[in-house]
Amino acid sequence: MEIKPYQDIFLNPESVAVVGATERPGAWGSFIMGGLLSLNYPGKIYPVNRQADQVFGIRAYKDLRDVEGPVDLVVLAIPEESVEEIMELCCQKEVKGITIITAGFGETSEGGQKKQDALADFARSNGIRLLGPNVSGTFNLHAGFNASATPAENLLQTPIAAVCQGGYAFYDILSSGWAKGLGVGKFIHTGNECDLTVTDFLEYFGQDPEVKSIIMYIEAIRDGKRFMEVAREVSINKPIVVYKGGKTLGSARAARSHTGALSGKKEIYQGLFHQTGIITSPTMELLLPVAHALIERPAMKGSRVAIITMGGSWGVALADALEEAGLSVPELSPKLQERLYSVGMPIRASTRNPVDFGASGLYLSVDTPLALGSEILGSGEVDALVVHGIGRYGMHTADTPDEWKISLDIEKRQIQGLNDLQEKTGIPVLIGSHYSQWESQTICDLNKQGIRIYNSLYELAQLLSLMVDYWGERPSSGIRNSKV
Amino acid sequence: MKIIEKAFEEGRTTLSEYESKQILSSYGIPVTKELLVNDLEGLMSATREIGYPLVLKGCSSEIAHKTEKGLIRIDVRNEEEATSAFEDILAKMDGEENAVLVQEMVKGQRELVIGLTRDPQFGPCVMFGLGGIFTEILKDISFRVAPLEKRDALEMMQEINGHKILEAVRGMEAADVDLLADILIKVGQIGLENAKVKEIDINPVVLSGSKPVAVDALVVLG
Repeated sequence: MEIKPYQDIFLNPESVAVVGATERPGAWGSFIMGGLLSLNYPGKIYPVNRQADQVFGIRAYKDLRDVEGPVDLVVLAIPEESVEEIMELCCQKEVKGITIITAGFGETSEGGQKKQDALADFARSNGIRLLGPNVSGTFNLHAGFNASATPAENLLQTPIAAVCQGGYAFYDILSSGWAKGLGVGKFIHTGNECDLTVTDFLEYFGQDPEVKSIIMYIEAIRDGKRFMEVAREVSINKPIVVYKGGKTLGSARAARSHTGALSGKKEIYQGLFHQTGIITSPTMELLLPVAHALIERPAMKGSRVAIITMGGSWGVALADALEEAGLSVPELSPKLQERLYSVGMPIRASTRNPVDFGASGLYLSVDTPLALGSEILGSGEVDALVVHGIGRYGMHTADTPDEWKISLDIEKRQIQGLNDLQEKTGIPVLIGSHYSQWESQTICDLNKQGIRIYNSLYELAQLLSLMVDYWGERPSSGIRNSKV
Repeated sequence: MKIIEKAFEEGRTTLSEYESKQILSSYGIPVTKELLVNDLEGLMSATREIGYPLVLKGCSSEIAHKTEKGLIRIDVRNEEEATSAFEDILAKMDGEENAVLVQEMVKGQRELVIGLTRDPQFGPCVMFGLGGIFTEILKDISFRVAPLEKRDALEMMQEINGHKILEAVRGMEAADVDLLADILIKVGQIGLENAKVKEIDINPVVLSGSKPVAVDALVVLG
């Protein structure tokens, strides 16, 4: 019989018992049940509740030991005082893993750390692995398993996995990401890490063929050496994108040396992330977009970016943001600019880079922007193209004038065509707009067609910069991403 | 290492500049040519060997911040200056083991800092950055966890904001980055091989032309 890795039980359990399962709104026991039932989970769900016969229509048990079949995973959504007692029952039931949702323990409550350590010792000596305490759950959309507080309707299955020391904020990121076609197919929240740590799951996802990239939210690494070894190995094959959260723990000890006094945690983490091939995201919000970009887009082979802009100032501001992020916005060669004029750009419109399509007055042409894009991408002078300033404000209704609808249609074809150039040329093409899908019909429709639109100049620039970091070459511009 | 064992037995938590540099030197890290003296005869013999101009420094394991205490005299050009500086420094030191370090004067405008710290989760970590008086003011530094590979050492040097100082600037030669990388790797090794070494400060590492030289050093034990 194939021996599954120990981490597997938290992602592929064949049966799960929810202790503290309830229909009471606002209770974690109801969130977890809701999560489980929002997917077609093929395994067995056993709610354990002393007062109820059934929870959300599923037969409930008063005692974990009353469950007839085996129980692979137990999710504990019960008060801190009851946890120890339940652990004993879990032991008797021979479960393989326990996810402790319960908060408290650890550094916050009195004697919490000791209690936590005791739980871990007890579990390990009985062959059980623990996740938590203080976690919001886990899910594996590939297996139809969702023991988390976010309903599956707002989760998008992708080949990305998340391993986080913080959880609830992640649901915000995932749910809003869902609307933009971003998401993770597998999610682990490690919480207080009394037993299993982020390193355990980084290792697991590193070997998981269903996972192509990994995002992480890290506050503190407890098993430093092992983390570095695992990260080094995994990052060779899969992008690991990390957001390092938490304050700089300055050297509180009276350091005798200047080095000791300067050794803030933040700087040390920055260094070791570089050392192990990890990509550091400057913000939480960029984690998902970057992870997607690294597995969906062609490589950034250099840092030269061309801009086609609908609004002149967008071009300037974007060029500023790109240069600030360490990229270059080179002036296009006279020869290339000639070609741009020859495919239709009027003399009055600037083609130096940014290429000011907005000034050309050619809004209604589908061919010209495509020709511009093709020339630029085929020139060998750039490593990425950004098309920015698209869309206009307003959602369409039945009363929308026809001309608007026609121009919307044309703009969509322009953008679709430009977007397709990425695959044709093997050079990244990114589309940007000030408008979100809720504000502009153009963006709403393009989003539905699966075209990614970036709403922030800063985000665009950072994303491209991280792509350059990941894929390699970069001129030393004196501006380092890790310092931002 | 004997120096470390001895200091430990004596209940000391810091090594003197001279002792610290002996440790660095034993790992092949370039340090200033220097001799420790405690009387006039020794001084004269040392000045003859080192050659003028030179630097005199009060040396003791108890004194961590020599500049503030007036225990350094640079650009000493002759016997007279050396003698008067020597006596002056000795007078200002009131510890038990009073000695003066007679040191070659390294000329170079560029100062770097290289250090070692011990992180509870990651172990010995090497630091690199802009040194001299600007170290704490600019905090332009980078770190790597030991053991370092050459690639780590080269990359960490490029990560500081002021990394262009390593290039050929203002008529000065480009720094020998291979040598610098070697030093960074070795400082990491010191940390890995000597559990009693808690922190190391090498500040400044002066670029004399292209060559880095450790001009001052502090090893903290613990």
